[in-house]
Amino acid sequence: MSISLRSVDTTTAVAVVSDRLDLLSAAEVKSQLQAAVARGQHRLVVDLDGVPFIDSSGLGALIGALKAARVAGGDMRIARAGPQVLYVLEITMLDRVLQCHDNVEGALAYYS
Amino acid sequence: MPTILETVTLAARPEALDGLHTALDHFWSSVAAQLGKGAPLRVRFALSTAASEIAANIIRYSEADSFDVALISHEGRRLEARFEDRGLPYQGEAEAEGTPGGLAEGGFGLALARRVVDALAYDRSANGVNTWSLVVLLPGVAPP
Repeated sequence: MSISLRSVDTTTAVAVVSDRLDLLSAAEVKSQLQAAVARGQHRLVVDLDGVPFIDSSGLGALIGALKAARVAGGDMRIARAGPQVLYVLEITMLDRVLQCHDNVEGALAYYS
Repeated sequence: MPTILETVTLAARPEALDGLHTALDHFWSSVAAQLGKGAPLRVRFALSTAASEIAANIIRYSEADSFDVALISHEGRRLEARFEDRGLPYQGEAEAEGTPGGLAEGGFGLALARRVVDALAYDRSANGVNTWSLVVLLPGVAPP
């Protein structure tokens, strides 16, 4: 698993996550996203194009980051979620909370 | 006759999820060979997602050293993932708190597993073996 963060501006960042987002990787993803929020980048886009699989641990990490972003006055959007990720978001009804966009640009446009 | 298409023994550590997904990849290839076509994506997603949740629960809570996974095709009509470990018995109360859909950050793994499969069963044998069984039906098979 890897996660890299790219600053868009002082309050906005794009996180690119690769590989499965599960028990093995969830804590690291949550930690990195919350660290970005702590640095002031409370408007997050999480690019999940490289994530073939997510489970409840991965969802928990995303929910944790979303809550941190909202507490800081920002938000978090999902971009480029794959079919298994979309399936799990739909089944859990978390697609109502973790808003998905087809691409990163569309997710960033939400903040502009 | 059920056909065991894949078996693997995994250490009860988070790194074991790599081995679980490798076994699942092999299983889906074997199922495709058996059926003459790949299983539908939603069937694959359902069993793989539920299997990951059960494995994660065993790793987190059972205190077992290892667990066994068998991936089984029942005449190409039902697909099953069976987990066995010799750890602590499953405590139902611990997971009852979580349901998918809220803003909980955890505790809803088993609820998610139950939601995606057609049948989920747990048994604790007299000789201390926990067995989890997850079953998904292939399209065209009536639910039990």
